[in-house]
Amino acid sequence: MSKRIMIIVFTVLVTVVFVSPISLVYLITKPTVELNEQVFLKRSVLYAAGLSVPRVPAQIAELFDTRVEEKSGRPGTPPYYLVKGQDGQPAGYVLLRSGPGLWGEITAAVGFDAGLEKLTGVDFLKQNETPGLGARIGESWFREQFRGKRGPFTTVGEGEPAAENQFDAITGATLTSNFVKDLLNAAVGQVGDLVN
Amino acid sequence: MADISAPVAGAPAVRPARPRGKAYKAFMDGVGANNPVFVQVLGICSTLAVTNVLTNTVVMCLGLVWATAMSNVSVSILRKWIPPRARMIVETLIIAVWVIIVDIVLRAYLPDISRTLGPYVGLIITNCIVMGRTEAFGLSNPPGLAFIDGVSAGLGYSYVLLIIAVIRELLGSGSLAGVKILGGWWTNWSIFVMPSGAFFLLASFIWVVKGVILKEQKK
Repeated sequence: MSKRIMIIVFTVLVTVVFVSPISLVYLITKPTVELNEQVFLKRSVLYAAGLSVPRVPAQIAELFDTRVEEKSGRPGTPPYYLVKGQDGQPAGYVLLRSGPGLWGEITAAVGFDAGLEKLTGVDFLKQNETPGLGARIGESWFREQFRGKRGPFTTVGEGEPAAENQFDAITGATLTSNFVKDLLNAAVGQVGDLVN
Repeated sequence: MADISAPVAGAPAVRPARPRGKAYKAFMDGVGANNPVFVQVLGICSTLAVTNVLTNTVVMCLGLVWATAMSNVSVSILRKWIPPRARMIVETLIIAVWVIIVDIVLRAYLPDISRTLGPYVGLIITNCIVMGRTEAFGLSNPPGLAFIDGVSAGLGYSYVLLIIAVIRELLGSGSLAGVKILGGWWTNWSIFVMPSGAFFLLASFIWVVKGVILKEQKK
């Protein structure tokens, strides 16, 4: 009987001894981790707004604070970001939008110009697509192609010339490409209602 | 490394007094004749999952070497106090601790890599190689040897993964670590990026190694 109690005591003791340093490391790095999340968000919003994104986190935050303003949408609609030009006038809007992906949700920052007609850029904040296939939506050529485009979109094959309302899909990742298309078309369709 | 050449307290007296030989054997075992991937066929899930882009593979390998070595040492230090019936719980706990530390550090200081790896780092905890080494080696050997054994099992796993990752990324995406190597003339073999391609490649690899190299050694 005392042997069984010893097992429990030992297990509890080992747990405490090993889990305390982890908690410590977690608490020490927590502010850094939260800052990283903030930087990721700001970086994506700036990229989608068509601004050139600095590399240094502090500069990203500074640019974000001077050029971008978070706006709460009408009741029941998600917040959006108002992008101001050098003169302080509204130059565009960035929406965060989530939709289904192949393995998990895809969250994108979608930037519109002031007239809500053309896209200024698209960036993906969260995606769990297949590495090497669907995850290539994170590659630069894929994200860059949306600048100046006008939705709603259809897709063409990878590497083929695309019209103003088309974008290059990814070979071997048709489903992911279609999910991105649906997500963007939903953003294009709703942006008028969400902003203002 | 000092504790390896020193006589090890607690080691059974029947062992020959040649600690360097033991360390050498512990090391060579993991990389060669007792390789975790192609001899024991352990850790296959992660072999298939993280070998389609070289960058992910490298981080995964470093994580595994660290986790196996540190867990093996920790279990080895505690081996005289761990009650036999509770050893699995304690081993899993120790492994989880070392892996979560990797995860937290990546998240704080290498956030971009942490993002691309996603849940795979946490999944090192369930990698059979780590638990296998603590069970088979850490529980019955001194910490110094356990460290060498952990590192060697990790390296044995790593080089197999790296070979597979290089082939998969080169043929599947025409690049290495995200840098384009093969030009526009190359048509990507998408099958190699998908898990089925990894199965095919790993099976061929094991076939060649077991059929040709290990057979020759036996003769």
